Amino acid sequence: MEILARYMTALLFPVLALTSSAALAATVYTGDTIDGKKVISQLDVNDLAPGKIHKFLFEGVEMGTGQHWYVPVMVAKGVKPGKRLLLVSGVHGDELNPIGTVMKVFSEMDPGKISGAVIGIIGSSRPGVEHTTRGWLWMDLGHSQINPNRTWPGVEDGNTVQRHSWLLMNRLIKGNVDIGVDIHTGGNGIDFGLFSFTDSKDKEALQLSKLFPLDQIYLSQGAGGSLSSALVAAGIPAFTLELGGPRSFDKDMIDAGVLGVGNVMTYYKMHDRPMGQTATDKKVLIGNTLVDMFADQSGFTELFVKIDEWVTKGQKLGVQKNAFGEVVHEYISPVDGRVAIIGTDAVRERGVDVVSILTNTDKCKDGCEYDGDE
Amino acid sequence: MKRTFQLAAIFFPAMALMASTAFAATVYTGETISGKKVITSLDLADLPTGKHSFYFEGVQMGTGQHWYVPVVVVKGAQPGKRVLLTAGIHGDEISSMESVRQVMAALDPAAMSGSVIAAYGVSRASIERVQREWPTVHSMFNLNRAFPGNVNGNNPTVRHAGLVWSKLFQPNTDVAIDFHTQMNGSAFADFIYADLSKPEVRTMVALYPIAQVKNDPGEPGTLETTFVSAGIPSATLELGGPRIYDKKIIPLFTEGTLNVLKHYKVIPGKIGRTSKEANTFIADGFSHIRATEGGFLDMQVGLKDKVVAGQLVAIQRNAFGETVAEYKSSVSGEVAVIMLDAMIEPGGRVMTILYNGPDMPCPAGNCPEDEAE
Repeated sequence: MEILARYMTALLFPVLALTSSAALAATVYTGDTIDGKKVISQLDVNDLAPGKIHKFLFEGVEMGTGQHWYVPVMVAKGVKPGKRLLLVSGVHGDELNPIGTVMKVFSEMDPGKISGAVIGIIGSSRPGVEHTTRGWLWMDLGHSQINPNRTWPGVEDGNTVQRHSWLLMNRLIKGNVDIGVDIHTGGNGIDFGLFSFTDSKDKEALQLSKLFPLDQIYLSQGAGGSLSSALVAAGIPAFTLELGGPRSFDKDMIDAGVLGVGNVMTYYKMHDRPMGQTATDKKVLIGNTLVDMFADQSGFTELFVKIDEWVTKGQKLGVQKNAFGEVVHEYISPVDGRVAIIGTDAVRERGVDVVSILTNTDKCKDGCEYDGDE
Repeated sequence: MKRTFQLAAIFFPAMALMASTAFAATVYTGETISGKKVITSLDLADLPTGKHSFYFEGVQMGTGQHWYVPVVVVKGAQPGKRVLLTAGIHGDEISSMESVRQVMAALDPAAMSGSVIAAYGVSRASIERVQREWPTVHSMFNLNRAFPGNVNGNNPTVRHAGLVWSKLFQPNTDVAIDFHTQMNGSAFADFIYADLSKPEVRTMVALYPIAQVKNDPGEPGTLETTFVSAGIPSATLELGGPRIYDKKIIPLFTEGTLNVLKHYKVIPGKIGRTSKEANTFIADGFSHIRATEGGFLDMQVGLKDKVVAGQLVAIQRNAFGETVAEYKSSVSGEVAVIMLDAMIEPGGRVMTILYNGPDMPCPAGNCPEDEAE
């Protein structure tokens, strides 16, 4: 009987293993290699050897000629089971600190000492990254710039950008990820400090945000189509991290991002390292309202406040002049709060962001709807 | 004297060896993309008879990934001329690519003497955006002013030109035909730019059954001029307007190019229709009519129409419908280029008249910069 049982087990186990691996998405290698990196069209972290960093080019959406955009992906597979953390950079192509952060996290990572896995996406909006633009230039409808962070979780048969998001979400992210951080900066002409857009619907997302050394957390309802909202909707705790301004590598911002990732890995016991500085240590402002002060006039704008400065209701934040030097508008803070976003370009068109103030109001305790530019 | 000879005897084999190692062999990176082998250098001599498809590894983008140019080679069973067909040096010129595809589809390597190389969409960055120039993060560059290029040049476009010129085109070409169209916003007739002072070019151009030929020495930096300067016959073909497949014009250039291949005995067969049947208008002069005002154009003539000096060719109106300008031709000739966009900015080209005449402002190809080519 015992022998029979053993025999049965021996017979059944391979069959079961086969079934489960077939049911799960297996890593699909296209057979192509580019610049020495294997091309994959689908990822299953379970397939990968532990204790190593694996580097791939993920086959994204096709361009007009039929050639593909390939997205660099790194996976640090730990030696023990544990949480699987996703770090995304370059959903907006003009945001470089996120790319620097993910690169630095992986350069300092020893996969032989971690549990679980870290998946890094380096520059997901390839045409945006190549042209240092926030939008993805789509060739239909008179060459429109599509905001990739309004296309998640993607549409399989949608436009180019929606399809790219769908491929990343369904062939790379889902099934491989327990926690996600989508890393951003301000766009061209806009600076953030150390800030987050955190979805109030997901309590773990707030905890996750607080593990980064942030000065401000904006607890909101999430922006439809953003990657972090799509991850939260898929049951994956996630938030949008903002690390300063666009285009350049800001060492302090990158170090803050790397520190926060380390803290996340400490919190989830992915590595054995002490917790570093967190948002709580920095006396973070957690606000439920982001008051955007858009330009009421066009003209040349001088700001009197800096990122993270505390301001009071009635305080003069900036002044706008026309070409003749005449004052055309003064920007007065309507609330007490903290400067979250500033427009860095001196020329401000009517309707663009001049200053945004993070504050708390009673009317939306769980975070207001935000229709600004996450 | 004797000593010199001895030295030569020693040096010659060594030089030959150096030359052969210096000469480009086909270099495979070992990579494949969508099943196609990636090459960084092509040497036709390495390839067996038959049809071969590659991705040529072009210049890097900002992230370090490369632009890859699709290249197809049909190598004949017998030796012969090596003919290069290039399309998509400008990214909005799509009829050009289809004509090259039609020529390649007509080839049978077993019946061929020599080879035909096709490079499709050389300016990858601009093809993907369907625009004329190569967009970089901070600027835009015209690939057809960048040849022969420089692999250490100061922008990616001139480096890409340097790579395709030195590793793909120049070492493998006896005859070069560069397929273009007019840019976004305007259209050419079925038209060729060529330096007819070169007898072999003159013969080649006469094999196309098309409407117009402009004789000029070409602009510096174009692929055509770079080839001609290197002693390789070349012409710039203009297949109408941008963006679309022009099904009337494409077959004329396919037929003409097959005529060229027959002329060089790369493929067998009887020469088809030529410039003789098409009664091609050949001239040296371009008269550009430029908008003096901003406004909306009401064209009075169309492509290939004959016009006489003083003839009204376009009326321009403002938003209120009031006439702001009347454009007249200063020469007698044929309309070669016409603006397609109804709105035009001041300085923009309303149309170009191809003409011959004693009053020609730029005789025999000494014209000022012509942006159309």
